[in-house]
Amino acid sequence: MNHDLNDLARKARQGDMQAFSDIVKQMQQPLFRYCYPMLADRQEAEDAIQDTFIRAYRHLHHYKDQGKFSSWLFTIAHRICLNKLKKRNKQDRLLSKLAHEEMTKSTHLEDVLDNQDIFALLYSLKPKVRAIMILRIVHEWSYREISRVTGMSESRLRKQYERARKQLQQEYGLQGQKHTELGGIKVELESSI
Amino acid sequence: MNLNQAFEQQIKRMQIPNVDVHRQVMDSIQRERFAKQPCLRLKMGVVLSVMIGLFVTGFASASIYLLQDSTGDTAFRVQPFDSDNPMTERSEIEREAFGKLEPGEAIAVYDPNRNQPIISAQMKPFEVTSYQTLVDRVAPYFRLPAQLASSINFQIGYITYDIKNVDIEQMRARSDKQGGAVVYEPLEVKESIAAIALHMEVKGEQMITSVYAGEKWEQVFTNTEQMDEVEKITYAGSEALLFQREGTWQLMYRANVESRDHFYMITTDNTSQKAKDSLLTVLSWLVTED
Repeated sequence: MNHDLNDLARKARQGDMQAFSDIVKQMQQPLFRYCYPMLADRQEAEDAIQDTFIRAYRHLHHYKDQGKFSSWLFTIAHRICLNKLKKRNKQDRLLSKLAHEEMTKSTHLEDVLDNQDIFALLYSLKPKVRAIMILRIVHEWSYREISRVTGMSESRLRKQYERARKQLQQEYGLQGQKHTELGGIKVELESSI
Repeated sequence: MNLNQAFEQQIKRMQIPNVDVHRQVMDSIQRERFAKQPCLRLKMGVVLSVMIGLFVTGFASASIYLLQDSTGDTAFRVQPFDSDNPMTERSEIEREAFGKLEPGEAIAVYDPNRNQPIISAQMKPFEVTSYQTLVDRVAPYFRLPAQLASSINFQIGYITYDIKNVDIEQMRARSDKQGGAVVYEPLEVKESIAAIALHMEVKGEQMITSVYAGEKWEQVFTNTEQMDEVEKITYAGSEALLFQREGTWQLMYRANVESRDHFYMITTDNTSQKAKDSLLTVLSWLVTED
């Protein structure tokens, strides 16, 4: 898939609009799987991936053939997400989104955190750390791949990841109360801590 | 239970809905590529022509194309950018400023930090979703066919109004006073329309037709070195320039329609024969042969 994507990128750089159109079709969902949990806001995540493609198109001539094109796209998306988050009043946005996020209303699987809970826990992490968790867990990327996107060294990524795991462990203890207030974490998970 | 592992499993199970922004992305890119709204670039003290094209690569060739009207006079000429009429790529600062505009708003940006200090001015166009509304709104300035052809599916239209003049010296003075900072100036928009753009689907082909007030388009400065498969065709007695560029077919044509001078630029999104044929379908719909 990445070979094909790099090939499409080369064609797009030569002015082939169909190739760029194929890139958008191929990469919009993977990018959304990154931007949505990063931003916890569907509309903002859609805006972020649109901005990503438009910025990528403008700067296609900067993309060199070494490295995966998908990593380059994720790097752009990562920066866009961080910039969007900087502009937010974090607490207000979180509370607002937890109350209104449409998709979180629906999913309540047995013994499984719902999206609202997961978004809340991910959102408790600093944006750069959240990015690591999403790329590592959701996208199953290696530290080397994550390093290309975030610009952090592999050893630092490992440390940050482990630290985040610990933080989330603590969050589990705290989340029970938080989620009761928000109306949600499952009793079975609380008791397993 | 290993809590951390469990949490990772939970995150993996997170439900992410499907998303489809393909159309919006490609529309935005097409709009940028073909400059649906005139981009007025004013070099210090010199008003330049409205220009087509957004990117400059390589060296300009000497190709100049003269297109004749039905009387044998030159209807318009297409020629490469030159030192008096250079192509300049829009900077991030300009893009950011223009990106914040609401429809109907216009702004001038003076950035003294570029190679050549440049003032650029742009208006964010109004969107129109009904063809009939577009026809009615542009009627005093542009003549569009009253009805769509059966093979044409109108998607969206854009209307760009003329902008009042930029006070270049005043902006430069403000920038100097602020130690060479980038300065911005909201601009008034005139009642007259400078350009319209129609996004449409023709026999399955995506097309953008831009129509400009023709009197400003006797000279068209563009990236002639990027043109390929260039040919002149004659339609309704006047010559049109048909060519491939950046993976598209494009057609330029200038005509007088019901006493209004119009410059047309029609663009496809691929280089297939079908796309090329569709260009001519659109042209024959826009300009009726006597």
